[in-house]
Amino acid sequence: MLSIKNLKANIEDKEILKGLNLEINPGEVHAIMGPNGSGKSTLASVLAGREEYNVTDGEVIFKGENILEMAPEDRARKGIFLAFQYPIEIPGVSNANFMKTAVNEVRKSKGLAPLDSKEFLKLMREKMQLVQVDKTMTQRSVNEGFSGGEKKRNEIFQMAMLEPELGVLDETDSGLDIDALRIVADGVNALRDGKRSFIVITHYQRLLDYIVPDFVHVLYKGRIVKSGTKELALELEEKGYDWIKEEVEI
Amino acid sequence: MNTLTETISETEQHISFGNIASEKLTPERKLAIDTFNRSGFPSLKDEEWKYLDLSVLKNTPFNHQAPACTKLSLSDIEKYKVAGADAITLVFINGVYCPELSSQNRDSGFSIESVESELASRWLGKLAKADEPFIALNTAFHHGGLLIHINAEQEVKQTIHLLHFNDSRHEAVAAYPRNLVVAEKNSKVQLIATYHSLNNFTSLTNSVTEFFVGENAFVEYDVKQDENEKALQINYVYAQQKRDSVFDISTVTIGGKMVRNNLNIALTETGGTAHLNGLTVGGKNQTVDNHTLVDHASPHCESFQLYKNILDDNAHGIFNGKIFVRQDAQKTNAFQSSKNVLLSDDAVMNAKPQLEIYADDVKCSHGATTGQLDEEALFYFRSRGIGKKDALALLNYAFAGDVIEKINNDALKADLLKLLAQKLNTEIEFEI
Repeated sequence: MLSIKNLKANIEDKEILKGLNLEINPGEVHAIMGPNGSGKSTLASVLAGREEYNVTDGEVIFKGENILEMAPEDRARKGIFLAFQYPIEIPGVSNANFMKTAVNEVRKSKGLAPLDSKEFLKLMREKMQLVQVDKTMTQRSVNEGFSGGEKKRNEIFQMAMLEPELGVLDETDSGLDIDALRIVADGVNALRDGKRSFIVITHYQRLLDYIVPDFVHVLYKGRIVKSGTKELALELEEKGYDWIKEEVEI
Repeated sequence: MNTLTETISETEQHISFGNIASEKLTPERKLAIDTFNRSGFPSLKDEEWKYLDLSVLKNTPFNHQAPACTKLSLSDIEKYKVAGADAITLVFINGVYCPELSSQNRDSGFSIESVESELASRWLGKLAKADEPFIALNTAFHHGGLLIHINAEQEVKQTIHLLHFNDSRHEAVAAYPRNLVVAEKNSKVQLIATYHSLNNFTSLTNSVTEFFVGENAFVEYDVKQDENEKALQINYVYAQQKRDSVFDISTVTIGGKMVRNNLNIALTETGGTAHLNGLTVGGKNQTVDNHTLVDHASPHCESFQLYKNILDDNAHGIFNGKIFVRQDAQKTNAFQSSKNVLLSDDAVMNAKPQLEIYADDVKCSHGATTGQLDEEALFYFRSRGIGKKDALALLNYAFAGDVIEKINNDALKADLLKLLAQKLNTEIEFEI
């Protein structure tokens, strides 16, 4: 489904990703861990098409197409969803209106008729339950005045609404207490259907107790330096990243 | 015979004036002409006019006495009404009230009569003084405007819609709407003014509206300026507020080549509240200038100003807002905010907030921000599958929408939101 080959990316002439390779098959959950500054969020941003990042080499093939030349909206329509680490507040646009617009734009790109208000409300009510989003949250402006937990829940709610084929969760666990973490993880797990794939970027092993990955990769200095199964995450939690750094430096 | 033509054309050669019979030349009009003759048009050297280029206005030969009411039919004006509004429509063509085009059945809570009537003379020109050049011109040339008089203790249930046309289809017309609204004690009224142009030629609308808001009266006045790319407007709105009164005004400017709005609010007695809201969505070759002055002359009054501009292409926005708090006006709350977005490198915004405070126990603030569109918000929208153009429109719509949200008239609000979506050039279905 997703094949990243030798991906190199800069921001302001500083190389962050230095030849990253990753293969993801349908239905798989890949956790990407790594120390601060290793390039985790850069990977998420490059996949979503953030324009400040300049890809200098490599390719990202998603469903048979190189997406690197695509606009962010086209990537989203094709089925890539980024759950932001810091979701932005947008006064004046209600969550519901925002989602209705997004859902219908995605549908339009697939040649589907837009949902009318009734159909949309039905879909929204269904997805709201997944992450315990209540009606007031959908009526409020996008993320405006939301707590950290509400913002992250809103990201997962949006993912549920848009039904992507690949969800990229960029440190979705940061700033969450244990209850909020559980709600978010339950929401993600409910979206695991054997076909949808996830990249779960996290600094901590804790999230992976709830969203159990098929593979764990360690990103360090812009490359994946170690891959394994969920046990690798436990090892990292216990020993920290220093032993990996030492392995790499040798 | 001393005609206006001869008098004013001495100072402004490019303007041709029609003839007014000498018996119509009241002392007030003669004085206004003398005043204008001494001052001439404002220039860029004048502090209050320094950002506004008036050369088109000065160089166009306008007919100042164009015939009016006969040129439109009832069906012509239908589409300019606010859909769904329970409104009494008063139609003005080239500044002249046209009873045959206006609503016949009226709410009993108010009366109308000529602004030149004996009754109207108690108020006319008491706030709008002819020492301003454009007020002088209006005072010299206006005819056929209305006094709208709301009786004490009356709530006018229907909205009063002042529907203004400048008809410059056959020649360049300068129209001088002159209206007067008097809301007596404990009355309540909601008015809308919309400005439309019918032109092949350059048009000028130079309007003066004076509001006298009585004790504990409530007046809302919402203005929609939707003229076309040949239309020039210079407007003056004055309001004088008595004890515990409320005056709310929202000015939404979508169309027009050059629009200058002057808003002067005087809080003359204790407990008055004024809200001043403005939204400009400007594009190619448009200049929109909002000048406000709120005069806190008494204690315990409040004023709130929110002005927003969205400027694209080479649009030019100007906001000059002055809050004046006199020595006696203790416990004043006065707030002002000017927020502006420039969508192109060629768009220009001049924002100039001014506070003059002579009382010591007051809460006042002002702020002006001008920026580009929020790239981070744009990316967020695009990452959800919303295309750049629609994302931009949705963000601008949200930015502008909160000004329109302040309007209490639901029909007008819906009308303006629709107009806004059109101006922002999007087909996205919006709800707020």
